[in-house]
Amino acid sequence: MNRPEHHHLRRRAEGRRRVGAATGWTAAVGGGLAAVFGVLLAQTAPAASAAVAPAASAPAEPDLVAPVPVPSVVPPPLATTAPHRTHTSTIPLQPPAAAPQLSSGGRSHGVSGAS
Amino acid sequence: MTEVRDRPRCDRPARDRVELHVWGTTAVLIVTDPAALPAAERVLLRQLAAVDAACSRFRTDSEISRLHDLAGSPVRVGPVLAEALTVSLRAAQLTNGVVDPTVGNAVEALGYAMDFASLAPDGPAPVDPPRPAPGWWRVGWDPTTGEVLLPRGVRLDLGATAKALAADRIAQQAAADGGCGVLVNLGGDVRVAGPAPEGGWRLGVGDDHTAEETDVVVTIDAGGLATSGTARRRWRRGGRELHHIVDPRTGDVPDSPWRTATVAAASCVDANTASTAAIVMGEHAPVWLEQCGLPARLVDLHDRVLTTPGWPGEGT
Repeated sequence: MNRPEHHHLRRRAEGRRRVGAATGWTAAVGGGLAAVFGVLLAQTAPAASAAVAPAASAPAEPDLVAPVPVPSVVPPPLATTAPHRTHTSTIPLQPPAAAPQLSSGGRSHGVSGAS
Repeated sequence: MTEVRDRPRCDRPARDRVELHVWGTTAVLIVTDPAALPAAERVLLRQLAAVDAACSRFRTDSEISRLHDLAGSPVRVGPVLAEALTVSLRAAQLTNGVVDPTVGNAVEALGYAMDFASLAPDGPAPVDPPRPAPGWWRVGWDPTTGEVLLPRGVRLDLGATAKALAADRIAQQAAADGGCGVLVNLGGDVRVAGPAPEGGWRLGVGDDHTAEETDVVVTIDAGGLATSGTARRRWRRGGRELHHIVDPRTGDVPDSPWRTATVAAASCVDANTASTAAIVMGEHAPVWLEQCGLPARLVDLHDRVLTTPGWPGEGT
């Protein structure tokens, strides 16, 4: 191996080391951010459509905080058909077929008041 | 002798109504054909029992209590709770969450954690400050499968709609079975079905459904009439007057200008949804009710009456 070739290989090795270091730092930072976001997301109440995964086999607890998942673990597919929020009937409140009229007298059949 | 003995019995007016005490209030059923009363009474008792078994948060063996216990897991519910959930979620959606079934914890935090008859009229202030309701949209509900997913920690209170739903179910079924007119009044939540008596069903309207005197008497031929107000189901905690209507946005009793709101609608559920919403909405209620096309009568804390178009006779 002559000197220019040796120099070239040294530079290549140095480049690989730098790339490796940068990649490692990036992976480490990415992993850390993933962990932070994982914890933050776990502390928020789950949306109705997403609440099934951690809750499917967990015991009932008296708070809204979901169990903190391990960030690097991908949640398994749902084992059950989870009820996701479905828009219920959006038929507007219906007015009466005929408006109430003032009574012309007689004994009332009942009273509508607070109970 | 037989004729003499029987004559008074024949002259006595046939019984056309049943009245009983239920859910801390009164239930009244009236039929236009007395012959239909026994069957109608059976419908009344059966439906009250069914709604209670499904929706009572005071019973440990009710379906809704089981739902609370299994919060976090999908639960398949029976047809009565399914209908009650559908009705309550629709009410929440149509009122932008002003009438929200997820107020269970808020209502209990204010002290209403047991049947009202067992509730102490006075007591210390709640330990925790009021918290907004989690929100009806958190309730996972698939009406096609009957499966509901309640997030852990969320408790439902279907009180704003379940009683009215019971009135609707009883009146409709009793009228269909008996082929006559039926009025059902569950603590002021009124539903009529079938052919009305001559002149219509006469209903007094006031603050209190047990009052002898009412502010006004109206007639209806069909649909529902409901009144929500702060005059009944009151208690004190920490020297503060509380009542059973909760604002889901705060988890506290609403600071409403209205003492009483009465609404007429096609069903008792719709009437009661609107009357409860009106109390919580406060000053925005008249415009909202008018936009919904619902005849309504609102009484403010200074006894002033405001009505919406369609309500008879009283000025705005």
